[in-house]
Amino acid sequence: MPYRSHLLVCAGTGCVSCGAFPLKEALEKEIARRGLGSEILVVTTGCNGFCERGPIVMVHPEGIFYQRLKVEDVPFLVEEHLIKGRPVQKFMYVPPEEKRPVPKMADIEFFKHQRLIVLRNRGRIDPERIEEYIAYDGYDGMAKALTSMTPEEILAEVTAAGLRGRGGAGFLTGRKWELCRREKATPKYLICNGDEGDPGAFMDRSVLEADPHAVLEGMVIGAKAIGAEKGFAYIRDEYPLAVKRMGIAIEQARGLGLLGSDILGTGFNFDLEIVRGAGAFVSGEETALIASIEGQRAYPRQRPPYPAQHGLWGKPTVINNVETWANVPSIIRRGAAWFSGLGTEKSKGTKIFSLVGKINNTGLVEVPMGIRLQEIVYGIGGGIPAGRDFKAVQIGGPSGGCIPKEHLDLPVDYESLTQAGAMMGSGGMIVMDEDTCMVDIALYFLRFTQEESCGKCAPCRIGTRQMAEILARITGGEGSDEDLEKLERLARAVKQGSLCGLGQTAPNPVLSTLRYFRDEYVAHITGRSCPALVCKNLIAYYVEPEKCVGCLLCLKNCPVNAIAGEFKKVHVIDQDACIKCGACLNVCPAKVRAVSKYTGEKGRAINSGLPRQEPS
Amino acid sequence: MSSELSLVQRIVSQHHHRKRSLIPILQDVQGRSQWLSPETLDEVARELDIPPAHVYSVATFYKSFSLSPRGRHICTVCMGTACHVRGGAAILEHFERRLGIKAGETSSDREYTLERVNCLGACALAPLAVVDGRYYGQMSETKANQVLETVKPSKAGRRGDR
Amino acid sequence: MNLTMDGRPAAFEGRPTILEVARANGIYIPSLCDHPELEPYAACRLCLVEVKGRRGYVPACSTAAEEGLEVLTATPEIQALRRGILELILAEHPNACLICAEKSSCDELKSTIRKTGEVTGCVLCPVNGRCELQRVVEAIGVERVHFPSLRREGEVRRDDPFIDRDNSLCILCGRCVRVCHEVRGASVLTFVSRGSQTVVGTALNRRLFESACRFCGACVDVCPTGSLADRAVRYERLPDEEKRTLCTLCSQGCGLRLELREGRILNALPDPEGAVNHGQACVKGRFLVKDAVYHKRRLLRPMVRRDGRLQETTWEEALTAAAERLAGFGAGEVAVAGSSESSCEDLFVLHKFAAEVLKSPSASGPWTGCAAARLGEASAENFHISDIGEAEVVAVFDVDLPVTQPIVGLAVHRAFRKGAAVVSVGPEEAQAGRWSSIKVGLPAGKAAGFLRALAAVIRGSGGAAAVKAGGVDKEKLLEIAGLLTERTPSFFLVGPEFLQSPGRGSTPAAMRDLASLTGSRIIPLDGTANVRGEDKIARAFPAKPVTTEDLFAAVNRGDVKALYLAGPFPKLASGAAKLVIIQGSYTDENAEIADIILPETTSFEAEGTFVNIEGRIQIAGRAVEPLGEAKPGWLILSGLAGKMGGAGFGYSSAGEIRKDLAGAAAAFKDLVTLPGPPEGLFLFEGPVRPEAMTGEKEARVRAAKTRPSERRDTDVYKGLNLALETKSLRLVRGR
Repeated sequence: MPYRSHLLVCAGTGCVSCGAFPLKEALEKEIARRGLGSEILVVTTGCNGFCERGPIVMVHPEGIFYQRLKVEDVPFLVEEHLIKGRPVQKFMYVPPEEKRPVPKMADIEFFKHQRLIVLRNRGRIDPERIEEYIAYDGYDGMAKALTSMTPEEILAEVTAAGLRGRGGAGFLTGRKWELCRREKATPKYLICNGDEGDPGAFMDRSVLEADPHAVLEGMVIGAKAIGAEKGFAYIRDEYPLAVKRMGIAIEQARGLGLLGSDILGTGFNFDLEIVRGAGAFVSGEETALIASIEGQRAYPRQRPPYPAQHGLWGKPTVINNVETWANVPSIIRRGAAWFSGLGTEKSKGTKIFSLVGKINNTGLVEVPMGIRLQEIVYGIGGGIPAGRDFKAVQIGGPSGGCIPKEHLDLPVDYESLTQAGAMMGSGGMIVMDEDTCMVDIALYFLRFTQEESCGKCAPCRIGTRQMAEILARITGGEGSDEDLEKLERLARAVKQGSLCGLGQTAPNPVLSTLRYFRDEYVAHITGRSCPALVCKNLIAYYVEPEKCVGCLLCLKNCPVNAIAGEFKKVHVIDQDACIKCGACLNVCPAKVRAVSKYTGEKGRAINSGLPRQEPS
Repeated sequence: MSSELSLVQRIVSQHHHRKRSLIPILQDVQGRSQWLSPETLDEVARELDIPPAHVYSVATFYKSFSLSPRGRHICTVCMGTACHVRGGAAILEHFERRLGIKAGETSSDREYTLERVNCLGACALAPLAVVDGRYYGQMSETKANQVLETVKPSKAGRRGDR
Repeated sequence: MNLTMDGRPAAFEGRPTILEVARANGIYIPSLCDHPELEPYAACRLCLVEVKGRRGYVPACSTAAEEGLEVLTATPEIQALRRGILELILAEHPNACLICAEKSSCDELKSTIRKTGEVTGCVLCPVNGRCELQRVVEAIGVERVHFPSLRREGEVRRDDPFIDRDNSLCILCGRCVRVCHEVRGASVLTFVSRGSQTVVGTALNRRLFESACRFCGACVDVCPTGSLADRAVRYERLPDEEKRTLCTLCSQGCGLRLELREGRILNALPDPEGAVNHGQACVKGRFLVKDAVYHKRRLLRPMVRRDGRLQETTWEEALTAAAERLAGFGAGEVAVAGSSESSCEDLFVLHKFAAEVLKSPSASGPWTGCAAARLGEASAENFHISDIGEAEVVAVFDVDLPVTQPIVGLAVHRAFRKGAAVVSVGPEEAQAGRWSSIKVGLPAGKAAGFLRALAAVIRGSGGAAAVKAGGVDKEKLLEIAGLLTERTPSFFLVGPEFLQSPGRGSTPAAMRDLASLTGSRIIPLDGTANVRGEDKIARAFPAKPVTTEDLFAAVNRGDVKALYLAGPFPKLASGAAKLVIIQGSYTDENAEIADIILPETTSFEAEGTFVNIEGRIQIAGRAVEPLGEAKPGWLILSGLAGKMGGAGFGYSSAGEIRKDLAGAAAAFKDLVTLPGPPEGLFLFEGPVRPEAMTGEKEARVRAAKTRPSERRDTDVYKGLNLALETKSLRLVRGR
């Protein structure tokens, strides 16, 4: 007997850490208790994308979207919605700046503007049940490719679709496959690059957790196109759930004869092995990834020869990103013309972005290429929280750059982003507001690159360290006038000299922030001030005597006991002891707002004790 | 004489003595023994018949591997961009102050290890910390203190899966 | 094929790299991580060049030359980039002296302040004046390093013999790691940690000595800075002369370059143009030549025993005394013992002396325990070590390659890296730590059984008993049998000890059988510098070959009453022989009871010809003047023979002897054409005769079968055991 209602509980990493599983158990228990077990089914699905709002439960068939649910809410929810048929408003999503909730997912701005190809199954199937994937046209593309298409035809289809690598470089996928197909050496290998290392990006994680079969299916199709029988799915060690779900998917696919030998009885063999990463960002680089699978240090190798010609154990190897693979089944199933109808002339299809940072609607979005940045930030993202001003959006991770306000109308495609000094990258989009210091961001990325640099080549190993040291001095208030010129010179040497993409793009965050926010650098160096009030050595925390109500909150929370004062008397921060941790600012009640930050001259004056303050 | 296999021997055997599986082997061994001691590294080299220098070189390259004993409780603070922008650095410093150790170190009583990680991919929960395998999102100093309270009376043995 | 480089045409063949084409055409492209013996690494980035049509810059060291390429190597942008990268490298390396304007006037200070331990500038560095980084800095031209110094911290490691390690000088070019791994197969050095924390080190930071390092010195030789340095020359001044010669401390025949100062050996380096070794060496040739030549146990003055005591005297007196006393014995009563470490010239004159003047038997080698002899003559044929590098299967029978046959070992490793199967057979305890595809631990006495079991399995006649006698389980036998029958070419590398057959059956016979069954080439591997040469020279004389053991027995029986010892001999009891004359380089046990001592030069003090294990004939040039009163063996014997009325001994140069030798022994018929054709001069081999065993060979094989001997200590040079007599080698060998 069919169920009258399905409760889809999001079980992506984000929601899981907010308690998705206890929530699911609570729902099941309550439903059983109310005797509805044969009418209502509770299902766990992969990541929904709207991670900000977890735990999330969708009710089908109505499509009602509940968010931020707690275990305690369950009895009321079951009673009201499932028994009395009255959806519960207080659990629904209310857009920022608005009062009325939006009950249906399809109406929520965050979801409305998205166009799901790769993420088409998100939130509606249990990724640990292959039958559900199959029910939504799963493995149809593979069947078509294996039974009624030649390798050349598959290649032609993917090429005509205009699919470009989604991992960052944007190389034409069909072209890469073609290069590999032409090679005579065997065996050939396929690799799925799931070493999503860009901090702030979690697209690949979501795909692997929500819809691993899409990746599998894509790889089988690719294997047929280039003539490979063995593949590797390289997944970051920091994604245990993704590893688990992929493992289950592989087992289930094998069980049904959709993976392994003689797939679908066509005589085609292809099998897949999962390899876990071990904590090295550089192993996301193609040749370094190969080295890692070979059991070596993840040192990149000079290209050419390219992996398509000379890759894993010297054999022709195609490496594609998770998202790239997940696009393939849809292309084969629905045709190249359909796919290339989306996006722009040179950037076809959709792209998944992780929209994070200072944004209201944090989460995962899949949008057609060419969409304006503005639409993503304000339309889907819901703008900047707490009424702060937008400052920049960083795209492309440590290889990318910042796009400032004046370029918000930029279409999001490979070429436009590169021209603006950023990079599509894997799709991490980090929104920054006026409280973000761009010099600090540049330092953050350089430090990241420094830590992740493999150390093989001199320009990257030494150059990024020198750049980071200069930036550290600048943020520490010890910058000097030659520093900007030095940075630019270093950036050139590192960009032109480095062996691999990590080094070659490492200077981008610096170059891009210098391009659009040079004045902030100058302020740090010449004015010894941090306009965004972030860099510790350049700011001072100050309790405004007129506003302080003497509640003792900041005093108690100061980790170094730097605040002096008594109940109902003005509190004073000891500037010498203050470590600029910001705890006082965080705990000062919103109605009071007595703690301020100052920089530049005023900040220095406060730091040196002027105006003199005594607790009154 | 007992023919019982050691942990390393068992795991190497599970991987069919494949030399190229060095990294997964080290991961599996560390999964059971929490860290990779010098003796363990030598044993892996012996069992796989590869030079000890190679094992050591790989073990020191990848940050997943711990070559010093770790504490009973592992606190990992995410340092991804989203977490950074939302104050991740301050959270790390707070943990450092509370635990009295720097990131990458283990307390002298072997109770706590503090680590940083470059993005766990749960960016919507920024800033994020993972303590004993449990994810704690929207971290603040106050929340950090609460979490540390819950792990303080050290429960012997059992740690959550990562 | 042609490409254009800086506007000029450059021709090339095959598929060299752009860097190789540049070098061949005299165009300088700097590089610090590239090395001709190593695979390209592309890490220092100094060799970046521009290729028309390609984005950015490409590293010349790892980009293949192609027809029609247009390459620019020194545009202003490239030069600026190179300077920038070099500055970065210098930020990690003590650079004060490198860019100091007062460099030239620093000379007077250099030689004294170099003796401090820590290196803060070139003047304090062990390789000042011979540092590749210095040369690159000069060529590129760096005046200022605009970045703060980020020197690597850490102590200088001095806790190993021979080699000092100073990480503050390391530029992470990776050459040492690569040579140790790719060429030597030792994998002692590796990269540790990551990023700017990377250092070159060993597993768990152990001493080299505790990391199975053999101290071949290859890492020191490829290091472009003083990071890995030879401790012995650390405080020495630069050499003023260089002499090419051979190493004669084992049978490989490596070419050496000796660096001299004021006529004294400072250092021995492998010769990159050495026909056998191509720039590689081993611990003995690399680090112990000086010790061998200047050892305190050197015999430097002729001595005659008077009043019970050996007293120094002149050559005239010593030779006269020797001639007089030798004349007092009848034919056959004097025996001569030679050495397979002596040069062809020395040996020829020795055998001639024994045959014509003394009319006596001479103990040629092969010394007992020689593998070639045990296998029978047909087995000691010429071969090229490089052929082993192309093998598909190599079976190594009880040879510790890195210690006793280092260059052969490198070839086996090369084959292994290319996918060859290496089967290592030998005593159980010696199998650990060897790189090989299959290890067979074989207890003593099981050799013949093992070989027969293999043959039986291949023939399909392997009954359970035969297999069991193999002493190895069946799967392994099947695996090895499969390799031998399916893959070719296959080589058997055999050590002398393996061919002893204390148990049942003849190991040599079993080996020959297995080899012919599988089409494998047997290569007996003996350890002395001229064992192949001695074998051929001895045969040029009519006397029946005897072994030193034979002679020793004859002495004890009283058949032989006087001995002329020009080579190793078992310890004689005092009074066992009526006359003992020793011609040698070092004192030994027998020297204590000798009647006359005639001091002989080492191979480094006299020109001599040696035949290596391949059968390759090479001249070892004289590097230094003879020490003390020592003379070459042939000169001593010529003088002695002359005094005893021998005719045709008036030799005054090694060349004259070679003429006679060429006429006397067919194997040496082209000797006077030395150095010979580009591929080298080898012993002449007649048509290969079928495997019929003559009576002589039978006797030899039987003799070998019934007389096991101790494993020959390969660290002994002319009676001096370097492993016992030098602290460093003793440590390395674990004695």
